[in-house]
Order: sequence, then C-alpha cells, then structure tokens
Amino acid sequence: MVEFRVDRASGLPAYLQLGRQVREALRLGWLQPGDRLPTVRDVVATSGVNANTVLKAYRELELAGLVEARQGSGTYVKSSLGSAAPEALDDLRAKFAAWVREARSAGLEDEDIDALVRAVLSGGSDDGAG
Amino acid sequence: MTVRVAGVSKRVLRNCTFELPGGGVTALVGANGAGKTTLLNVLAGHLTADSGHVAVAGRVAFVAQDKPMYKGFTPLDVLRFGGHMNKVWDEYKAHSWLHRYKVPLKRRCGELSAGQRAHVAFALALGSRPDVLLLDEPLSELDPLARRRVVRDLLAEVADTGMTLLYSTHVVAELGGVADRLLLLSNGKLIVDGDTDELLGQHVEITGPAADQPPVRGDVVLARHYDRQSTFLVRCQGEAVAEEPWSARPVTLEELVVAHLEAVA
Amino acid sequence: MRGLLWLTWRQHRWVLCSTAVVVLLASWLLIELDLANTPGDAVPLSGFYAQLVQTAFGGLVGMFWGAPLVAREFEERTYLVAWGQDVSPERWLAGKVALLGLVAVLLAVPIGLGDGYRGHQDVSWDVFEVSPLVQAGYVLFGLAAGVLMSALVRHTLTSMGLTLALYVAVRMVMSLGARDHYLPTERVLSEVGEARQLPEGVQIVETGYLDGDGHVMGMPSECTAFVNPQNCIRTHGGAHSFVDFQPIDRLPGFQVAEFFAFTAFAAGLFFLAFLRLRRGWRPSRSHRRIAA
Repeated sequence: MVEFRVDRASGLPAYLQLGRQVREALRLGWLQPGDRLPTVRDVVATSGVNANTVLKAYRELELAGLVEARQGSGTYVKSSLGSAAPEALDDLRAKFAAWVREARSAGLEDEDIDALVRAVLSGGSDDGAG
Repeated sequence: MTVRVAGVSKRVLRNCTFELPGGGVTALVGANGAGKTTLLNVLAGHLTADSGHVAVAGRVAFVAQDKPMYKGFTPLDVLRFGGHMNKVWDEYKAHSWLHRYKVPLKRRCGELSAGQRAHVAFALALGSRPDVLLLDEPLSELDPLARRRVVRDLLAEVADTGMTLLYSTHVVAELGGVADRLLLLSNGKLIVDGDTDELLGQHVEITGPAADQPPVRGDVVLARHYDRQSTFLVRCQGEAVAEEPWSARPVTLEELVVAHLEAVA
Repeated sequence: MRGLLWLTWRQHRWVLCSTAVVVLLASWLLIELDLANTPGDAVPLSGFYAQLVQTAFGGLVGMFWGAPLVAREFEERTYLVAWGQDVSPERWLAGKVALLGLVAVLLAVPIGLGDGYRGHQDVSWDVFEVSPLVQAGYVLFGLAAGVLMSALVRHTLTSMGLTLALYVAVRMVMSLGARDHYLPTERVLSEVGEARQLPEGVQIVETGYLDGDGHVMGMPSECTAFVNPQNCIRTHGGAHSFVDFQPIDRLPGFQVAEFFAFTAFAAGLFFLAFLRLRRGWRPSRSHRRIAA
C-alpha cells in the first residue's frame, strides 16, 4: 500500500507527483504486480487531494501501462518498473559505489558528484527542461 | 455547465465571464478588494448583478467569510433550522461534521469559538446537500491542522456527492492538488482562468543573458532585467525548451499567481 | 409552514412571551377597572390609563416585533443564513408576518375589551378605540410599519424610531382628521342664540354659523371681543347656528371602517416590504437561473 503525499508548494502538478510516487514505489518494490492501489475516495480522504487529480494520475499510469483499472473493483498494478533484473541492479549498484569511492578519494564533494551525474544524465538524454 | 457567469459587473467586478463544469473544485484567488466576495454573493443570489448574466444549475449553499449565525441558537437549533428550511436535508451528514470537529451541540453559537462557529456554518451548508457550494475564505478561522482536515473532508464531500465547490482563498501555497481550477481576480477583472495543472505546465521561468525577449514562444507575464541577466516568467504555448545559455525552471502556483498580480498592478 | 412556525417561535419567543405577559396584565387591569367602576363614575386616571394602553399597543408591537424583523438580520448578517436556504426570502417574510400578525391580532382582543371607567357595555364616541376589531387594525398596521421600515433602513434602532414616527403620524391624521368623515355628517340648525336639541351621545364634528343664504360664515372678527357674541353675529348677517355631528348609532360601523382602513394600510406596507425584499434578493436556492 502506498500513502500519497503532495507537496503543495511544488511547481510539479499534483497528479504528476502522485504518478511519480507510484513509480518510485514500483521501483523500490513496495508495490508489486497484482497489488491494488488505494481507491480514489481513500486517497482524497487521507491525502487531501482533489478526486480529479487522483483520477488523472491513475489515468496517466494506466496509459503508461503500469496499472489497469478493473471494472468495479479498483486499480491494480500491472507490471513492475525497472528494466533490469534484481541481480543486474545489484551489480550496477556495486560498480557505482566503487566509482563514488574513487571520486571521493579524488577529492570530489558530494555536490560535485551530484553535478557530474546530472551532467552525464542530461548529456545522455534530450530532456533539458526538468 | 453548472455555473455560468457572463459579462457580470457589480461594484468592483467588471465584465466577468467564466463557466464551471459540475463536480470540480475551483479556487478564487485575488488581492483584498479584488471582488471575490462580491462575485460569490452574486452567485449565491444575495446580490443582483448590475449587468451581465448568472446561471447556476441546482441548489446553492454559501458560507460567508465571517460565518454569520444566530447567536442565540445552539448548533442543534441550527441543524433543526436546516432541516426545516430545506427541501433536502441530510441530518446525519450535518451531525457527523459537528461530531467530528467536537463542536458542543448545546452551547449557544454566540459562546462558541470562531473555529467552532465555522464548523456550524459548514455543517449547515453541507447538510442541505447543495449542488454548488460557495465558500468565502472558509479556512480563515482555523488552525493549520484543522485547515488540512477541513480541506480533506470537503474534497471527500466533492468526491462523494459530485457537488461543485468554489472557494476563495488568500493562501495560494495550499492550493496544489486541492483546486483543479484557478480563477484569479485583480481589481474586479478575471485575469487568469484555467486548469491548475495546465497552468503549471504552461508557466516557466527562463533565466539567461540580458535580452529583450525570451528564447521561447509565449506570453511574457513578467520580465526582470539585470546588468548581465534577464529573467522571464513566460506562459508558453506548447513545450518550453530552453537551450544554452538559457535555463528553464518550473514555477509554483504561488509564483505564478504573484507574477500575474504583479504584472497587472 | 411548520418550519417557519418553528423558526418564528425559536427566534422571537422571548419578545413574544414578554409582550404577551405585559398585554395580559395590562388588559386584566383594564377589565378589572371596568368592572369596578359604574357608568358615570369619573375616574380620570384609569380612563387615562386605558387611553394609554390602547394608543400604545399597536405602536409597541410595531417597534418591538416589526422593526427588528429584517433589520436585525442585516445587522447580524444572518440574512445570509436565513435567505440562503430553500425557503425563499419572500416566503420567509410571509411566514413570519402571518404568524406574528396572527398572535398580534389575538393579543389585540383583550386590549380592546375595557375602557377602564365606564363599564364595558357602554357605547360612546369617547371610547372609539375600545374595540378588539379597531385594536386589531392598529396592531396590524403597527407591525406592517415596522416590517417595512426594517426592510428599508436595515438598522434596528433607526427602524424602531421611524416605525414609531410613522405609526403616530398615521394614527393622528386618521383620528383627528379622517375618522369623523367616514360618512357625511348630519347637521342640526337652530336660530342664533337659541338652545339646540342634539341627539344623545353624538360626536360633534363642527359647529358654526350660516348666513341668510345658508352659506357657512366665519366668526366676524368684531364679535370675538364679546362675552356673548350672538347679537353681534346676528347684526353681521348670521341667520342660523349649525352643528355637524355623527350620530351614536354609526359608532360600530365606523369602528369597522377604521379596522378596514388600517388593515388596508397594513396590506399596502407589507406589500412594499415584499417588493423591497424581492428586488434586493432574488431566490438564492432551487433556481436554474438568476437573471440580471
């Protein structure tokens, strides 16, 4: 079960925030295929977001193929996120940790590492506006 | 459309036009004296517009900012009043609202705290199961915790009953995820009317070297120029892609509202 | 209507109860005095008391029931509550006016029963206002004046003051000017200086002199100096003296006329109050459109 939190002062539309939180939960394994997402009414009552916002978020997730709405019973997780298998993920994580150690020993602060990662990420994709 | 306002002028209001579909939550934002209260009073039927046309489908309930209530009535009397004076009355709903917020039922309203009186007003309004609920600064008497609970409960009411909620507020920082529609009034004129998500998607702050124009297409809401730097808050048509040396940053609802108000000031 | 009955009682129960207590005590005293005194006993103080009660009643109801009715809703801003429900402002007002009016008329009955000093069977023009019917007319008028003022000025104290002024003004105009002329007066002629024969108990409306042609003549200014001006008037052409009066058997009819006159005023004022409410506040609920 996920509990949604909306940062009202954020520039990110609330429905995108909800979608992002579901994706995160999928990535981290908190949500598994077959799990049911909370009903719209529940999200409204617990998180204080507009029903339309929740519907929009669920629709967006549905379009992305992550969840499916089953008639009359709710919205269910269809597939998990993360293209890599768990073993591959562990391997990558170990490699990245080694790289971070190397960077630190080379005198980089966390902020520098962060900037470097971002630069590499943005160089690798076309997505300029965050 | 549940609410239709066409070319309405009254007091400070000038030629206001907008429509609200049923079931949504709309925030009415503007500086003091912008005409929010006048607009709500016209919609509630307590004021008659000087010109223009107002149509509201269904039954309206209106809670004024000062939450007026008969001082000698107890909350129980208010519920009886609601039951007697309305064709539709949901005693359970009204009662459970008072119960949830621990309003003493047998104390005269004149002796209740401002927050408790606000809850009595909400209970009366919700008990009549309106199709359109108009709230003028509904949260102004409430503490931060109660504000969140009331917002949550009101949104749940909207989700359960499909009523249309239009409320005025100063606190733009609390709008995100709550209002799906934003009406921004300035000096009686409606300067922004749109879906909050779309508005957030359209508006972007672009910073870069000093320039007269931003590098993207759209309406410049606000521009600030410094010696070597210019900052534009732009309402874009379509995707805003800023290329080097420009950088784009999404704006919050509050920044968006403030920018529009500053722009017309 | 049951809802409005409840609301009217709930909102006005104190003023209703206290008025009822005062009215019942006042009229109990009236009737007690009436029974204790026989016709002919001159007890001016109790008569004065009766006059006071019967003059004040309608005005007080107007001031304390009518004048705050709408004005207080504005002062406390509760009109937003009262007229924000399914019951329209017009119906709200109609219900309250009907119920308060009914109670006021019921209270007018004991007020109109005794005159305090002549015995209540007595019939006399002097006790014209000693009549439940007449008192009912007055109280309806007072209430209507209060309701209209309260719809116009929206301020309770001002509304009370204006109500009193309007009530007193209309009562004075009617009782001093209009009431004597509900029917044409009857006239008795006599020779100037001769004693005249008038029927028992009449209300004298006017006296004066006629010249030889039968025209009303004023008192010649030269004659005013005389203690006994008859000779002077005769020499100035006065042929007859006349008395215009209303006979006593017209009293009940005139009381009915007074009732209808004041009830008609009340209806007119209530109507204006309704217009005022309707113009300012269109029905706020259960409508599909509020045209502008």
